[in-house]
Amino acid sequence: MTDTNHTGPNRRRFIQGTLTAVGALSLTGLAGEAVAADKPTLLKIAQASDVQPRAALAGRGPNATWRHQVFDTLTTLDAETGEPMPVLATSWTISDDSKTVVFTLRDGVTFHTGRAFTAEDVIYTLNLIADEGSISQMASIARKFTQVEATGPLEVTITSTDPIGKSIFDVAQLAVIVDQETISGLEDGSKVVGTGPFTWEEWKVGAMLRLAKNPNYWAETKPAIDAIEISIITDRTAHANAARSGTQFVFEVTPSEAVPFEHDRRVTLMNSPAGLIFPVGMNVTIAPMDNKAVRQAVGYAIDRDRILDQVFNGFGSTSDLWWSETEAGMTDDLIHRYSYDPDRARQMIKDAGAEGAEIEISLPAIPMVQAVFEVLQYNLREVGLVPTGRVLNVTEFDGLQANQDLGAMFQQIHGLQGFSAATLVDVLAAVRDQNPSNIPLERYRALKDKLQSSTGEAYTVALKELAEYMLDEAFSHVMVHAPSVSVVSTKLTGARFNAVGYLELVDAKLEG
Amino acid sequence: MIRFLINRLPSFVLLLVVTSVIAFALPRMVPGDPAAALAGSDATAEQIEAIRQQLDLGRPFVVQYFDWLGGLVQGDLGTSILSGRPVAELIGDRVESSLELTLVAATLMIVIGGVLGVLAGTKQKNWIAGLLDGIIGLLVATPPHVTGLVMILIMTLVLPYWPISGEASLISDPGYGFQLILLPALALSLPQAAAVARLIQSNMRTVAQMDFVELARAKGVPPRRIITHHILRNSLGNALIVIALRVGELLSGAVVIEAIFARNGLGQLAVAATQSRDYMVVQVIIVGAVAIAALVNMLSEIGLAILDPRIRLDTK
Repeated sequence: MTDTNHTGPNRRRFIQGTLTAVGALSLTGLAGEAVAADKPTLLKIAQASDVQPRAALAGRGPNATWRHQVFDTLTTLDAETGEPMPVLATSWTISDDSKTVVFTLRDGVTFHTGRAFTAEDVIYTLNLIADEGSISQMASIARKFTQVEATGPLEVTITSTDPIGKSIFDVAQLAVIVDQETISGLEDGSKVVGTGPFTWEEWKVGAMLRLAKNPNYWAETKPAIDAIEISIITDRTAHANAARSGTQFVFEVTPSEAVPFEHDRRVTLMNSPAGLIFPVGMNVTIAPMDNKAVRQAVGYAIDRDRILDQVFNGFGSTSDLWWSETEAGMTDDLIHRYSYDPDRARQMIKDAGAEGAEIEISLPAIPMVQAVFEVLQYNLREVGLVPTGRVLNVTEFDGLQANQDLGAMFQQIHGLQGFSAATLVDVLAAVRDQNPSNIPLERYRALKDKLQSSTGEAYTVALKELAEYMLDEAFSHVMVHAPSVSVVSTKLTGARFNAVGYLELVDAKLEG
Repeated sequence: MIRFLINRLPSFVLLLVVTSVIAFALPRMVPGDPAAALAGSDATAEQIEAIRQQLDLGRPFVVQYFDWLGGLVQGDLGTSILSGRPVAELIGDRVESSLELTLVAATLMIVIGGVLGVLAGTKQKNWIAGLLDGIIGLLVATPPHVTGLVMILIMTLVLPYWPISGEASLISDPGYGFQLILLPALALSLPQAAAVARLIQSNMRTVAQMDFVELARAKGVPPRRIITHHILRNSLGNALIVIALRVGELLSGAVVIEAIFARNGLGQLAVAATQSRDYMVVQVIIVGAVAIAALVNMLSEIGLAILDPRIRLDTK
């Protein structure tokens, strides 16, 4: 058995990690407004999209600013090492076959209603995630758990037929512990109760969310900020106006918008090692993308460095992988398998008889994706293909993506970076089993199963084997890994983003 | 007047029924569905279908329409698909912001439009008339969002501490609320005010040439009285109709201005609901907007009758 025991002030230890902002989540920013010492401190945060309490158990960008103020998770992934760190679970043991995990829970934790947190709350939360109607990205993994039982008032044992030693901590990262007595309040945000450092006070849909300090927070360190106000400002011009006027600092930026803030002494830029990935996918059942050589040629045709410079102003990195390049065994050959080689791409397309083929590329109406398309279509034209764009409303795009019906070629945008590769291959729409590339599943699924059932060195070998297969099949080419960029007032200290991009404010302070 | 209102009732009801059909059908004809929006971008087809079932979105459209209409008649505006909140509550949260902006903008439109129009209508062929003509022409040609952005730039340079983004209630915090509403209201009202001014100016110049004005002059009526009692009064009829129509435009024009100045009014609610396919919110806003426009139009007819004794509301 592997026994991990943490006894210190765990949450604080985690929070002292690297400043990161990650991006399954929308680029999120915050602004601090300090007030006189004898008055309550109010932290003002601005973001572009409304919060979604209904999706509290899923990974959603608009929830990045508030979710971990109101809720806690069992564990959290360290932003630098990716290792699980204790939050509501103080320790855990993993069986040698990695199929059983026992969590020991923190004593003395209460929900905002005053009710004590117990093992039953963990079971309830995990069952919600596995539920048929669940919209959590971790639903498919949670459904693999054969049993989740309380083996003590403060002990939960999870068993599975497959090894879960790796993915259980991804589930735990996303599974905020909810209060079963007030769960209906999550549906409309009328009552949102967790065990976190701040309480949910008022939500005006599409306009504002207000949180207040939880004086009974379980951690030794109590929140220093009295209240948090999250304003929803949907228009980018309005963000700029807010910055100029000082009524609300603007902190939510795209990489290109971050440039003017680089030399602004009033703010600091927070870059995340994770963030968003921008893949271009191809449907292997539609000509000419049914030819592997054409798909590989597309990989060589893409000038990733140009996309990085032109669209992202150099924020981020080029990588061919769907997961972090810090995953075990990822070599430069894998990370940069498809370097820019238009001559080679042109020859491969010619040899495949695809020269002059008209390709429609579907993409969501998201400015960054559209900007990437401009470079992509130029690159494809350069090597002999004739691309055209089909820009779709985001909701329509998502529906077609879910139905695996995006046509021959399509651009996607994915977050959830920071989770393990074993989890990402089953949750990212580009590479999960129900992917719009319609890649045959037999060998693909077998490789995924091998990865997900492996631990230690075997995991490294399995991941390399899967990466080799995916890169060779070339049904999805990742073009860029772009960080989430947040602009943070220098008045605010102690704010942290966790490994998957959620803001942590328990140690945050406002100065001046 | 009562007979006038009774006569108008059937067409008003018919208008609302037709609008309700269009408001119900139109959002559903646009690709994409709220279940996908709710499920999120990583959702599988099974997850979207499960949500569709939960929300009863699979029922026949006719059944959904009559359910909604039945609720509407009883004062139940329905529940937002995305937020789970009653639509009435969402609208209630936003209505104060929109009303304040519209009322302030309408007041500015009437005052600025009236003053500019009367000045331009009374000044004859001198440099002041030319200047006024130029100002009016410039304002008419500049859309509200451009005016708004220019104002923001100017205020940033001239009065950097003037708050230009966000909102506060004029009722609970009148001082700060006024500071925040002034720029968006001005931006919204100036093009409309210029249009009103142009109409008043044109009407006044036409009326000034009429025989009864000449007669008044011949009888020695003082010029100021001729302007106020003869020319102006007879020039305002059309302007009133235009003002009523422009109030409707102020409401619709507020969408962009609300976005630029980070105000959370009905316009922003409508845009967000449309983008996320929240049909229940969109359809109520459409019906509400048409009902308000029809009511304002009716009020303008009543006002016109009061101004012009030749018009009788009860005349068929």
